[in-house]
Amino acid sequence: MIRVSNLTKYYDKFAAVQGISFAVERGNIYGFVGPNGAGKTTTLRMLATLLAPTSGEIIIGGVQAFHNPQHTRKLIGYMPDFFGVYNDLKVDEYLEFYGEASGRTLDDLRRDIPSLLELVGLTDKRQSYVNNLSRGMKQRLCLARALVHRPEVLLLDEPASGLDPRARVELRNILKELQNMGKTIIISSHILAELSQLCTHVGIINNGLLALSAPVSEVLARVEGDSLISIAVADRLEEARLWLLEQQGVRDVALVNTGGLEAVFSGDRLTQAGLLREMAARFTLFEFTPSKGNLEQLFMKITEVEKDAKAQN
Amino acid sequence: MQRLKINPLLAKELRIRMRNWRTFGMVSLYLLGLGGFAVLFFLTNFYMLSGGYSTLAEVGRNLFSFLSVAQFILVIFLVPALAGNAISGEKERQTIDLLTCTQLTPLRIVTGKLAAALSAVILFIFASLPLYGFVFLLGGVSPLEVLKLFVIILTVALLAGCWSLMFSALFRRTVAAIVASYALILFLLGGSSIIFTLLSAITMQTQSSTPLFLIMTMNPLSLLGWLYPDFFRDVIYAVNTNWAQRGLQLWHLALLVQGALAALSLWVATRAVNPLKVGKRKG
Repeated sequence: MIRVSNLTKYYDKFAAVQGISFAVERGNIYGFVGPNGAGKTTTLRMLATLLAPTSGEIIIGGVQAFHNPQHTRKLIGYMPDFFGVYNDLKVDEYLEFYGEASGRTLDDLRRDIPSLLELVGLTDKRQSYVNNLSRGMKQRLCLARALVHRPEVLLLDEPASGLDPRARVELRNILKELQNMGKTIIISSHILAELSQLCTHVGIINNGLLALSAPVSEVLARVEGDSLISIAVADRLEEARLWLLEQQGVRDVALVNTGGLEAVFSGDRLTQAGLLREMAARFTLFEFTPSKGNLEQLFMKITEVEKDAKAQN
Repeated sequence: MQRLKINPLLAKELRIRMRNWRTFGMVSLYLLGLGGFAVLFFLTNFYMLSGGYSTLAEVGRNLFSFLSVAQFILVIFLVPALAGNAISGEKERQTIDLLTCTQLTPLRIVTGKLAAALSAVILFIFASLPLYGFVFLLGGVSPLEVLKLFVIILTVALLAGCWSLMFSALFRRTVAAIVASYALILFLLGGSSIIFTLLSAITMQTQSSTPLFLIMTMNPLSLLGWLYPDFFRDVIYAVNTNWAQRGLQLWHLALLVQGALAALSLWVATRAVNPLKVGKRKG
């Protein structure tokens, strides 16, 4: 659905984005992660045909985005990180305006807008002035606006920023529903835990370079370093602790208040699976729960490496 | 039944404008200003009328001339206030990206905004119609002349609208766009008149003509030459006697020059609104 090749953007001599490449298949959710100023917004703005790249290529729906921006804009729904609204319009008028501006007829829009408002949970605000909506509601209205012309692709730049935890959960549910509807979504966010729950793929960008782009499962598998394994055995607790200490990859084992063990494990997933197999053969296991490697760990590692490299230079 | 399809941007602007008390305040002020001047003008002429120095038709004619110039000036200074924030306002409100992401082409965005500004001018003109009814009551003016005046005022609103839109698209701040618009209009109105007067003073001594007099083609007031042919007749003689003898009038050239300037402004505005035209693309 989306293919980005060697995308580069320079602002004078400053390289905001340096030759990044990735692809997103139809129906996938691609999470774009990176610190402030990493190049996320610049990339999304180029995808939204709001910024011309210095070089490189973006193909959306089989069409080169910059050769036919009007066609591309039909395919995409864009939600920027900062956006304004027309305060003097009512919610339905606001959506009608953007729908008409995107080439849909008023009759069509009047038929579709109720279901769109239901999707984003603003049905009872249909006749309210946009000015009277809360921040979270405006955010959801902006999402409805991005959907009003039935785009196949959604580009969401920090859609959860400034939202309270409840609004974030609601937004995540809406995005999951959109995924079920077959939309292809690229979403940038700082909330990495949320992205790992939501996305099928993830890209980590730092200093304009795409440090990593892969399916979430693969990315999590790559997370190296210590992880904590919670273990509960039926009996022979001390024996189990001593046995664990002798195993490959286990750096430390502690007894916990709940009557179980917590093992500090350093190694890949295959070694971890071997440990489980061996332990299950020797002891009656109630629990063997490794704490999942998360995006935050990986993100911190990648950005830390870059920081160190910079400091050495 | 097929629904009348208008630029959605124009529809949105009209809806917002008509909900705003500012519009009605501006119309009221406009009518108070224009009507107040008209009443003052009539009162000063009334003494001439009662003294038998002037006829009713002459007073009507004079009042019409006064109203036409007053409305012309009011409109030309009103348009930057209406069009100056058209695009810079979208930038300030952070809605320009959302707008350019739609199927509206940069040209449609610019023309939609221009149409919205002109629609406000049309509202002002319609609101002032009763004043012209008063002129008809006095006599001395034909309906065709009033029609010509409205065409001229709409033309000058269109031209000033294009110039203001250009600044609105180029500047990020509305205040800067409006100041630049007024500066240009003041230069075209006052600057060209001052240069023309200086040139006239010089050439009067040397008894020569110069094409530099064509500076007056940039003055929007020249367009009133269609309504008052005697008003700027000498200017075209001063430039070229042959042209004048062939019936060419200053307002013909003024329309051409100012129209070209407006078209250029519209082109610049369209480019400035197009995000993909800003900055160079390599490779």
